[in-house]
Order: sequence, then C-alpha cells, then structure tokens
Amino acid sequence: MKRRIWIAVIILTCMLLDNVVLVRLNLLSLKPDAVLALSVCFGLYMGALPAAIIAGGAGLVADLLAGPALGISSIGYILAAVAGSAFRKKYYADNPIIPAGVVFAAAIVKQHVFMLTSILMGAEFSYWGMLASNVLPCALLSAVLGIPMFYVSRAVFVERLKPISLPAKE
Amino acid sequence: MKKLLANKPLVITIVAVLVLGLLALLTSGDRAMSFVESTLGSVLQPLQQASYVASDAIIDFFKRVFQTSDLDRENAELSAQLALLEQALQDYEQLQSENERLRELLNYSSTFDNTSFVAAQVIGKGQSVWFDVLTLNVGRNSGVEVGACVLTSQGLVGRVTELGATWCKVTSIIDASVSISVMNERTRDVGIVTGRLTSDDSNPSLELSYLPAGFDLVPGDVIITSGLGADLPRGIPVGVVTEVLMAGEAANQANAVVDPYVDFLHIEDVLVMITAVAEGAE
Repeated sequence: MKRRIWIAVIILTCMLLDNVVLVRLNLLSLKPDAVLALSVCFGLYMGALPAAIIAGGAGLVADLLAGPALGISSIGYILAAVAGSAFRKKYYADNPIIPAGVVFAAAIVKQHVFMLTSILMGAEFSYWGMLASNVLPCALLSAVLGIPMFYVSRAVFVERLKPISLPAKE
Repeated sequence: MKKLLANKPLVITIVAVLVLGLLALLTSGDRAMSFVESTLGSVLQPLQQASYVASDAIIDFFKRVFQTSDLDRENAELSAQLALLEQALQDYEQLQSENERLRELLNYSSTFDNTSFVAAQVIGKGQSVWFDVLTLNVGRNSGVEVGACVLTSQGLVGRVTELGATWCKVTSIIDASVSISVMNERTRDVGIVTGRLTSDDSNPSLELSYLPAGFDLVPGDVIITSGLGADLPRGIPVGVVTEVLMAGEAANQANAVVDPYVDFLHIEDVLVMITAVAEGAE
C-alpha cells in the first residue's frame, strides 16, 4: 500500500513538472520529458504490463489536460515502459546508464509519434532540421533526467537489506 | 508468426498502440468533450491552475535572484518609459475621441456590436513543440462554444477546439496545423496564414500564403482577419509582416513571414468571444 502511494505521488509530481514547470522554463526551447523517464524506470522495476498501464493512464491525463488529441502521449509512454521492461532483471541493477540510454531511445520514438501526428494534421517542416535541433537535444535532456528518476524509482522498489550484526565470539 | 503471437508483452503493446492511435484519430478534430473527459478535467483543473500559479512564483523568484544587479538600471529605464507612455496615452485619448466622431459620421457599425466576451485565464500549455494548445478555465457553463474566437487586447490568440463544462482547450494561431483567412489591412489582399513549425518556440512566427497575383506587400504591413469562412470576425489584428519571401508572385508557397501581435510566451489572460444572444431570449 505504501509503495502504491509513493508511485502515485511520483507520477503526479512528474506530470506537474512536465505540464506546468518545464513548459514554462525556456531551456533553449528544449523540454525534457519527466514522465517518459519515469515510465522507463517503472518498466525496469515493475515489468511491462503494470508499467504500461500506469504510463498509458498518465499519458491520457496529460493529453486530456493540454494535448491536441487523446492517446498520442500514451503511445509514447507505453512504448517507453515496454522498452524499459526489456532490461528487467537482466543487468547490473545499480547502473543508471542503461535506463538513461533507453530513455534516450524512447524519447526519440515519442517525438516521432508526435511528428507523424503533426504531419497528419497538416503541418509542414524540415524533418532533418527538427531532428537535429529539437528531437535529439530533447531526448538527451530526457536521458539526463532519467538518471535521478532511476534512483528515485530504485528507492521505491528496491528494499535494501539491513546489515546483520553477528554476535561476538566468546 | 507463432513466436510473435506467443510474446504477450509485444502483442499487448501492438494492440494498445493501435487502440490509442484510433482514439487519437477520433479525438483530433474540433469537438465537445465526453462527460468522462469533462468531469475529469474539471476535477483536475483546480490542481492544474494552482500549479500554474505556483510555477509562476517559483520562476519569478529565481529570475529575481539572478537579476538583482540589474534592478537599478532597469528601474531608471522603466521610469523613462513610463514618461513616454503617459505622453502616448494622452495622444491615444485624443485619437480615440476623433475616431469615435468619424465612425458616427460614416455610420460604421462594428462587427462586435452584438457580441459579448468572457474573460479567462490560461491554466495550462501543451508541452510539445509540435502543437500549441492552451487550456483555459472557462467552458460550456460560461457560454463558450466549440470554434469560439479567443483574443487579447493585442490580437488573435486562436479558436476553441475542445470544450468541457468548466474548461476548454484552444489551438493557437501559431500551431502549424491551423490556417486562418486574413487580409492585408493596407491593400485588402486576402490570403491564408498558418503557423510555422520551428525548433525555436521562443520566437513564434506565421507564414502568409495564397495572396493574389501581383500582390503588394512590404515589411510593416498589418495583417488582420478577413472574416471569410464565417469562423472569425473581420478586423481582429493577427500580426505584422516582417519578411516578404516571394514579392510580386502568387504561389502556393509562403509569400511572407508574419510576427504575431500576441506574446504567446507570456500569455495569461484572454477573452473568449461568446455568440450573440437573441434579444427575445433576454
């Protein structure tokens, strides 16, 4: 129960961070995605299905609050959660590099989903220009954000063993 | 194929992506929201609004911390600007009264005569650079309708595209998927303005296209809504031409770059146009 409360608090905090704070900060027009980073970390620790459900729900709420259509963000977050789950129990658990790498790849995929939606809605732009100036830098920032998200998720999901004090020899 | 279907997470992911893609397709146009969406949005709206205000305070605090050394200089500059603005205000008041007299002489009836407005605050913005969507804290209960025009004292902001009971979403004119019929205030040439999708959203701009052959356009020309298409009333300021790309030619490619009047980076309060109520209903 305690873990579920923590999961809810972390998800809500990341959604507020994404939709209210990060969108107001002008980091050279680059916006990292905290919920995406969290989706990968949840996939890493919870597995594909539970993480995908949480990530999909967060995406629907994000689209409902300030998105052009329902489901676009959910697709990106679900794919991120499933990608994160591919590394579950398969690598050294204290290494944040692999989750950061997965966040980087997932952010690029999510940006392409948005790009495709934008094209279908009638937008015109230079693909390579946007890739170089926006997609890749945003993915890099999201990957950097993935490192603290990894440690936060680890604190929630991994129970640290307490040191055992052995009795002194007589 | 059997191995593919045996991989449950992959199958679930593919099904989820297809379902969500269909949902996105169904919800991408202008629409009134379903009861569930409207209710959920209404429940989350106070939290979203409080967070938006709190983030303003946090960002302002950090800006003040990093800019204390410039405050004195800024104060002196602002004092000088204030003196100029006070003079400009006096000139404006004189021009305003002259304008009112001329309007009476010409028997000009304003297109906004039978229209009322409701004030709204921006409580959320889209996170992505690909779309420019604002969330306002007024909805159906305040008389707002899908397609309603949203503006500020500076000019046109956009149109309401999704509507809930107590909130709505506005697609702004700088969104790349939005096209608006406009005209050059000086020459009355009609064209189409669309949002320009660039990686730098700190300087949004618009593209003006489909001007008639042999158009006369120079930087500094004021672009206003044309009123064609019955979507938006005529005469709302949209922006000013900053660059002419294809002078003297009509083409389906962009003719000019237009800077919008509205400061979309710092937009906070807007007006939503309400459809006129018939006199008999009052």
